[in-house]
Amino acid sequence: MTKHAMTTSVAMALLLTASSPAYAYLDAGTGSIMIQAIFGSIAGAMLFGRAYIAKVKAFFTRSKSSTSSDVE
Amino acid sequence: MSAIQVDQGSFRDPSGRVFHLGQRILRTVMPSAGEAYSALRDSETLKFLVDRGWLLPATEVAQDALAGVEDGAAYVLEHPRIPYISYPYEWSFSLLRAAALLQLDMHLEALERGFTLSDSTAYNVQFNGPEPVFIDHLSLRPYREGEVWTGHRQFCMQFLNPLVLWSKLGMEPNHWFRGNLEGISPEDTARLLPLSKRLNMTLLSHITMQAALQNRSVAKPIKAGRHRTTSLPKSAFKGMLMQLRNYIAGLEAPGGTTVWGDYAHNTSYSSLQAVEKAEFVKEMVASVKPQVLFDLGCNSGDYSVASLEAGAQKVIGFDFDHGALELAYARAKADKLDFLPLWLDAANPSPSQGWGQGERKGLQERANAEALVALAFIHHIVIGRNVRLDMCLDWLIGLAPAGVIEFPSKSDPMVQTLLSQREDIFTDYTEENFCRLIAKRARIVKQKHLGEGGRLLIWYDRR
Repeated sequence: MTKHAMTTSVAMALLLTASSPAYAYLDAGTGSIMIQAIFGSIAGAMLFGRAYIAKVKAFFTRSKSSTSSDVE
Repeated sequence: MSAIQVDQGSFRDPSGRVFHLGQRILRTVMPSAGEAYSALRDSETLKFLVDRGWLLPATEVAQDALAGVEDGAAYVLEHPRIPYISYPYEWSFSLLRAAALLQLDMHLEALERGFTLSDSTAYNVQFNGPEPVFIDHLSLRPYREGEVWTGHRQFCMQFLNPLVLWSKLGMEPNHWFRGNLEGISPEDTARLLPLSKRLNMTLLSHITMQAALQNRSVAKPIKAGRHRTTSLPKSAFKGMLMQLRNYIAGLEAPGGTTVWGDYAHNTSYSSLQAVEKAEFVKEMVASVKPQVLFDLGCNSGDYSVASLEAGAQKVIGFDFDHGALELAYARAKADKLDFLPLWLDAANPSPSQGWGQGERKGLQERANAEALVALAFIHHIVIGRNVRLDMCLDWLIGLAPAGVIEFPSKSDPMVQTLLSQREDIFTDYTEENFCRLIAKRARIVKQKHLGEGGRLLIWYDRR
């Protein structure tokens, strides 16, 4: 999930290079805000991914811990 | 008796201004910022940051302390005076990095406590010796869930980009930063970074991508207000700050830690002449007892340290060479000295500039030293930069009422080196003329030759 978001970000950066600035004096920081929107979505994706992984982990740990106690 | 003056650099934020009342520094907190300030105070965040040494102390004084000058303030704060104000374009790599890390550490701590910084300007950081301190209490305000980092682009322009150009490409950004007080844009930085340096997540996102998105949005303007809906989760906000913190903490000055980090300072002076020179400086300092002393051409700080030992309260060192400044910084930091080494081109010092040409003050306007030392300095200006000896002495003696100036004659090896590549047009550069010119401008308290036919030291006093 994270890797996918990063690859998309990199691709976007590479695609959006050649454009000549006009009216730069009107725009103080759209680039900064768009970057933050991407950071926000990556963080959201990571959070979702982590929660998902945690669920899967929890599923296996539960069954694993019961078997290990049996062996002991 | 003492007149109240508004600080000319304090006007961008309508939530308050700074005033000079004689030696006192007062700050108004206007009603629009009253709640933000009282929240900061009542949550003990203010106290926490001050106790850490990150934020300049503030005490509340009578609300009408500035009555008639700035009426209607919700609070008036008093701050200790910073003895010498410096600007980011006068900082060495290590100073700029220390200021960047302070901004980020403070912001992370503030977020933890429910506050944020409303901007990221480097001019909000000042130095006490080599230690940075944040001076703008009104930049701290309560954090609103999901808000974006408004100071992000500013942080990149004033800290990240100059540090990256410096560390990765060996470009000293001082001249450029001085030309554009807002710093260096991601668009310009992206144009300069070679592909090999871009393959890093931090640089890719904060420089390359930001620049690309900025260029695109400028080329195709997006409807006003569209991005106001952008929201940044707090975890992502902290993540950005942490990412920048880790990256910047790992940046090294050009030359690397091996050159500057292993600096083992040697307190014993290298030669008998250096010992004599230190003694001469110490005698002047012990007599003048300066609060602030300027060390012009401070190098790694040998005579700054001698001045501190002799009783100078604070030394501001100046040098043109960034390698020397890194050594001086390492020494000030290791020995906890009240010594701030700054970058200066003495033939072209910082001017008064910014809005109304008063926002950032020139070197001359900030010159508050009671004493100066200019050792191994004058020949670089007179012979190296073609400044007449009398003009050079006007400038030096004008900077501080007392001090020590060293004169190496034309037979000196250093002067010989300077002269080796050029015609000797410096007929006024003689020891007799030097003495005569000083005597016209000040009293010669003492003079001494370092060894037989060696350099001449003159202690002058024009008070």
